[in-house]
Amino acid sequence: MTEESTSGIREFWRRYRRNRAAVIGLLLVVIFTCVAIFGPYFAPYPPYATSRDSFLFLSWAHLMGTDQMGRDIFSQVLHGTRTSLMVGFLAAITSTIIGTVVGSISGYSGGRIDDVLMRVTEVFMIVPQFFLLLVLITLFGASLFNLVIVIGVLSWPGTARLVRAEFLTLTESQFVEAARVLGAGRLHTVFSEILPNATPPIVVTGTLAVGSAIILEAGLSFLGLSAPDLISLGMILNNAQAFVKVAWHISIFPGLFIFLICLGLNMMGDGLNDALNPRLKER
Amino acid sequence: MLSRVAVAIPMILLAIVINFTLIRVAPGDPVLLLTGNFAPTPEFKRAIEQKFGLDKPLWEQLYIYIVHIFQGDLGDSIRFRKPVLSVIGDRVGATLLLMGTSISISLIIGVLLGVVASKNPYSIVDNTATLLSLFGWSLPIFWLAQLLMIAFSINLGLFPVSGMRTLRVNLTGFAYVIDILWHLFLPALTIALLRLAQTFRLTRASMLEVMEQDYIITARSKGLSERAVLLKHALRNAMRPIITMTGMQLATMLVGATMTEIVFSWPGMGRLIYEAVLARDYPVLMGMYLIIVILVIIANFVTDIVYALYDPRVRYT
Repeated sequence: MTEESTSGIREFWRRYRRNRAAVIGLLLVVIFTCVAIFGPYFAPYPPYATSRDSFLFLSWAHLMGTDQMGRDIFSQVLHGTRTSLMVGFLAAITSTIIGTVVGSISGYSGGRIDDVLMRVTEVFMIVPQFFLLLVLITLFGASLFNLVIVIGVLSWPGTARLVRAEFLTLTESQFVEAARVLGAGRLHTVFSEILPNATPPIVVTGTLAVGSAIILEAGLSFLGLSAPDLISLGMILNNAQAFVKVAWHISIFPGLFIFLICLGLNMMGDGLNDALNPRLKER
Repeated sequence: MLSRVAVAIPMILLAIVINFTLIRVAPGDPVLLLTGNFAPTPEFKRAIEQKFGLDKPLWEQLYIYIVHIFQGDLGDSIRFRKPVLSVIGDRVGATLLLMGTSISISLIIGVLLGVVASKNPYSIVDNTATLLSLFGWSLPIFWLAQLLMIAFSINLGLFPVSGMRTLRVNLTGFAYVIDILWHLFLPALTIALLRLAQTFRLTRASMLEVMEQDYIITARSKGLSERAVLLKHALRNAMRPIITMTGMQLATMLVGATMTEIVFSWPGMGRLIYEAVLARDYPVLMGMYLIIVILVIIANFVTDIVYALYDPRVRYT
C-alpha cells in the first residue's frame, strides 16, 4: 500500500467517524454479519427440532420463546439472519454489477446506444418491481439462486442511472481528457481513469441496495415464497401471523432483526455518502 | 399530451408481452398453469388450447392473447371459478379506501412536519424527525403492521384485529360508516406511518433548497410576514417534487397495501394477490400484475397533468 492511499483511508475514516449515526450503523452491520456467519454454530437447538413445549413465552431455555410446534425461535432467527444477509449481499452485488456495466456503457458511448439503454432502464423503473418479483418467484419457484438472480436483475436501474450520470461528468473532466491526449486506449480510460472516480457513489448505492434486497426477500417470504430448504426471517413472521392472537411473542424478534440490519445498512450508507462527498456536508 | 399517450400504449403492450412470455417460459405446460395443479381431462385441455390458440404458431398466440385482453377477458380464476376481472373488481373499493385514507394522512402530516423541521434545521425537533424517518425506511411494513396489531388490538383491545366490518351484525347508516372507520384505523395508520417518513424527508430537503432561492429573499425584503413567505412562496414551490413522488410511487404503495391487507385481513386487491399466490391461481396473479402495470401508467399520466396544472411553467405540447 502506498503512502498516499494510506493517508486517503485515514482521512476517510476521520470524516466517517465524526458522524455518530454512521458509526452506530457500521457497528450494527458488523454485529449482524458476525451473527450471520457464526450464529448458526451457536444455536442452542436444531432449528427444525420440534418439542412438546409449544407457544412458550421468552425464558432462559428459549430466549425468544417457541412456536406452535415447540421449535426454538432463537435458533430459527440465527439461521434466518444468515439467509437474509446472504440473499441481501448476493442480490446487491448482482444488481450493482449489472447497473455498473449498463450505466458505464451508456454514459461512455452516448448517442443511440445511450438512448436505447436508458429507455430500457425507464421501463424497468416504471414496471412495479415487487409484483414482477412475486409473479416470477411464484412461477419459477423460490430457491436461493432464483431469489438472488431475480432480486438482482430487477434492482439495477437505479445504479445504472447513477453510474451513467457519473460517467457523463467524468468523461468531460480534464484528467480524462489529459489521459486521452497522452494516448490512453478506451479500456484504459474506462477502467483506470473513470471507474475508480465513480466508485464512491457506487459503493453508497450498493450498501443501500443490500438493505432493500433484504426487505424484498423478507416480503416475499412473508407471502410464503421462501426457499423451502432455508429458514428466513420473513418466513418466521409469516408463520407467526396465524398465531398472533395466541403467541404474539413469535413476531417480535425476527422483525426486530430485519429492522436493525436494514437500519444499520441505511445509516452506514448515509454515513459513507457524507464521508465520500465532503462538499455536501458543508451546507 | 398526445406524446404521453404514445409512450403509455407501448408500455402497456410491453407488459402484456412480458405476461405472455412468462406463461410460456415458466416450467410446465401452459395449460396446467391456466387450469391449476389438477390434471385436466383431454377434452377440457383441447378446449383451452383452442380458446388460447395454443395449437397455432407463437406470434398468432400472442395476437389472440392481446385481443382477449382488450376484450376484457383475462381468463377465469381457478379458485373462485369466476372471470378474473370480476374477482379483481370486487376488491378494488377496499384498497382504494385504505390507500386514499393513508395517502391523505401521510401527506398532510408529513408536509407539516417537513416545514416545521426545515424552519430550524438541526434543532431537536428536526433531528428527532430525521431519525424517525430513517427508522421508517428500514421497517418491514408487515412487521410494523403486526406490532401495531399486537399493541392496540390484542393487548389493549382498542381496535378490531381483522376484517373490514363487524360480522354477524347488521349495521346501517351512520353506525355502518363508523364501524368501517374503526376497522380502517390501524391498517391506514400502518401505511401512513411509513409514507410519512418519506414525505417528511422529501419536504424537508425540498424546503431547505427552496428557502435559499432568490425569490424568497425578494419576498422577505418586500416585507411579507414570515408565515406568508413560508406558505405562499416557499411551500408552493417545494410541493412540486412531493407531487411527483406521490404519483411515481403508487406501485410501491400498492405493495405496502398488500402486506398490510394481509396482516389485517383487509379484503382488498393486496389480499387477493396473497390468496392467488397461496392457491397458485395463475390467471388471477397475471391479471393482477397487468392491471397494476396499467394503473401505474395511468397514475404517472395523471401525475403529469396535476403537475402541469400546479405549475404553469410546465406545458405539454
